Amino acid sequence: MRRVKWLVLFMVVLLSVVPCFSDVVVSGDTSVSVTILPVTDYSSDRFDSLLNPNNMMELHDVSFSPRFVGKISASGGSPVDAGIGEYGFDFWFLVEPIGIPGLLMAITAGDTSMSSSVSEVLKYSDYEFYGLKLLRADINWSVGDLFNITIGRQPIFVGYGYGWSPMNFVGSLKTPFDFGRIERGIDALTLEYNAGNILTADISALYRPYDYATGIDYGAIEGFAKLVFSLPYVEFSFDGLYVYDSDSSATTTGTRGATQIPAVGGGFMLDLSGIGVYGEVALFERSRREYPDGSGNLEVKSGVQLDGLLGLEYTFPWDMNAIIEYYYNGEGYNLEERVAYKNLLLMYSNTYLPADIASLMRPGCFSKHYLLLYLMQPLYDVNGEVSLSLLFSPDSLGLGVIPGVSYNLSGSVSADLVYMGFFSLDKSRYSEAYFLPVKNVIRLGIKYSF
Amino acid sequence: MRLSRVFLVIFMGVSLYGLVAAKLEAEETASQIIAKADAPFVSHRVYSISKMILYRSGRVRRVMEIETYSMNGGGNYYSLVIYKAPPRLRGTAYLLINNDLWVRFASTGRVRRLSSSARENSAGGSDFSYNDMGENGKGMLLGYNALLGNENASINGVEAYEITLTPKSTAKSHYEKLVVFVGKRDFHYLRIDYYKSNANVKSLIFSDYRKVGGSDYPFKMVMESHVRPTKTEIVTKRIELNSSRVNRSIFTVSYLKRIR
Repeated sequence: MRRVKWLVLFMVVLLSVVPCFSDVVVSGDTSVSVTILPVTDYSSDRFDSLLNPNNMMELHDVSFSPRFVGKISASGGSPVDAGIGEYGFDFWFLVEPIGIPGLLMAITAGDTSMSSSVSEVLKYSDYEFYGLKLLRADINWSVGDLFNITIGRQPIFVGYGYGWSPMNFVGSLKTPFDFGRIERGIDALTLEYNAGNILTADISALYRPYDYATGIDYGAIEGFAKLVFSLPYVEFSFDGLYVYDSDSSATTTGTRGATQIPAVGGGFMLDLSGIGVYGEVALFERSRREYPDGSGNLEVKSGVQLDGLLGLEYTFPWDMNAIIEYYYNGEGYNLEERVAYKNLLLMYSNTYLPADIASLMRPGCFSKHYLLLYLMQPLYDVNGEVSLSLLFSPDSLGLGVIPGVSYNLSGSVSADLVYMGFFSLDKSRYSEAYFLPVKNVIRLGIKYSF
Repeated sequence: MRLSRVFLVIFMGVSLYGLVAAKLEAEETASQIIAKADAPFVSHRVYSISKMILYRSGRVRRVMEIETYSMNGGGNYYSLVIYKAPPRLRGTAYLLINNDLWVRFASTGRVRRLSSSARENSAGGSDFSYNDMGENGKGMLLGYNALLGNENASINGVEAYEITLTPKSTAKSHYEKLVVFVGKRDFHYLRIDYYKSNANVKSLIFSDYRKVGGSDYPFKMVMESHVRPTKTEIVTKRIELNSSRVNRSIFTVSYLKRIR
């Protein structure tokens, strides 16, 4: 709660300086969604599974989930004023319910966007908790046309993939189930050099401690650099992460979280007669995740690990948007490791399953190979759109089918209905569908934007 | 006999020259007319705030407000479109530099380059494509050959030139041809008919010309589809030609990221 007070104080200070800016924008959205988990066998243990023993995730047949995103942004100066330049700030936050199991899992999943770092837990009642997540809190200043300095919690976007982005090794893991998810920014100081659109170069000092509560951890300061070369019809990107005290011989991911591992990445996007062809590759000093060794222990993989992505995108004359992606998850589990994981879960079938073990199974990032097909057709006549995502893992034979429909009731109000079905085409291959406690999810949401 | 053949050859040559010369003259005249009509659109630095109203079967379906910056410079065409309303779209922005398109997604702030097929996409569900929106700013003569057709055409009682524009490169054009009508008196664009597969698929109608910075600019443009019951009206609320707000530095991915 002490940090909440600091957060409120920070907001008050921020709002008090708002009049100094010539252009202030307050926006955001509030939404409520109903999630239904239909099951064919309506038994008391209907949600129990290897991954959810005794329903530790506290799943319900029907659950409601409100959510609020607030954005305050301001700017001053002018991009065409060479004297002062342009300056501004962004302050985005998210409030959403967060269950204790979910919180525990998020912390140990290495998902820094959900970890304790700045996700304040607001107690609503003895049974209900809300997470306050600071998404952005940055100040930036453009010095002439060439330089831009940003300090604070800021987004660091790299790569081209929609479902996955191997090059994005400093942000939260992307998910092929939600392209539009807002990622929490990263605490950083970034200097951007911008030579028109031909070359942009960013150098950042990142601060990503495992836990903010234990004081400043200087070892958590990392160096990150990004280069983008842009030419007509083609673009190339490169990035790299330097971690001062990385331990290449470490056998576990340690307390720093799983993402703080030296890495380099490269990507491209090419326009071939209207078809966007893009690819990414990333090399990691060692694996970011742990693997069960068959005797109940978890270990990281030493040696260079490789992740890669190849994608195509095209917009048809009737405005249908199509995306096809192949993802090689070099850090994914092969069949032997998936069997070992199943055996590891069996060891905990009658006892409490540690969240760090449960979180090793990340849907869409569990096996070695994935294919994604995404189709979206705007329906301008009725102010809506329909979409279909098919996610297939050729090695684990898992299939995800996600059709959705959305309808814009007005310029501010929209509603969407999504079904998510997960199928294991061969149970002996142990895909994520084998482990998931629910195979069918229906979500109905309504959102008000302001 | 030999002399008559010589006369015949000369006669045919002169006739052919006459035809070619007449055609060249017609092309030149057509190009001059188009250049005059293009003048207010190819101003070096244009800033505008417009309301985009989408109609279906005569009923308003959606109203959007867009802020547009555009300029020509160094042989390149630059355009930046920022959605200001409705709230659901606010902060979405498109940067177009010649044939390259970038988008800023408002919900996440992410900026991503898009394939060129997206340029043909409907702009915000309207009857305009991103290409259509950029085409006028570049000037029609950059991508099209002009040929004068009917010199005595009439649009709503206004005498007009009818000029056919055929793409210089069919590979790069979304349309088979454009038939434009330019007012004889003021050289105002009055209407553009867009053709695909030999059919007029939509028409852009210009009206409410007002004096801006010494040029006449149409404050109302209506794109009417002929294949579905829709039309899109763009009403200019504010426009500055040769605006000091428009500078090369805003047409960058870096600036796109900083849009709020």
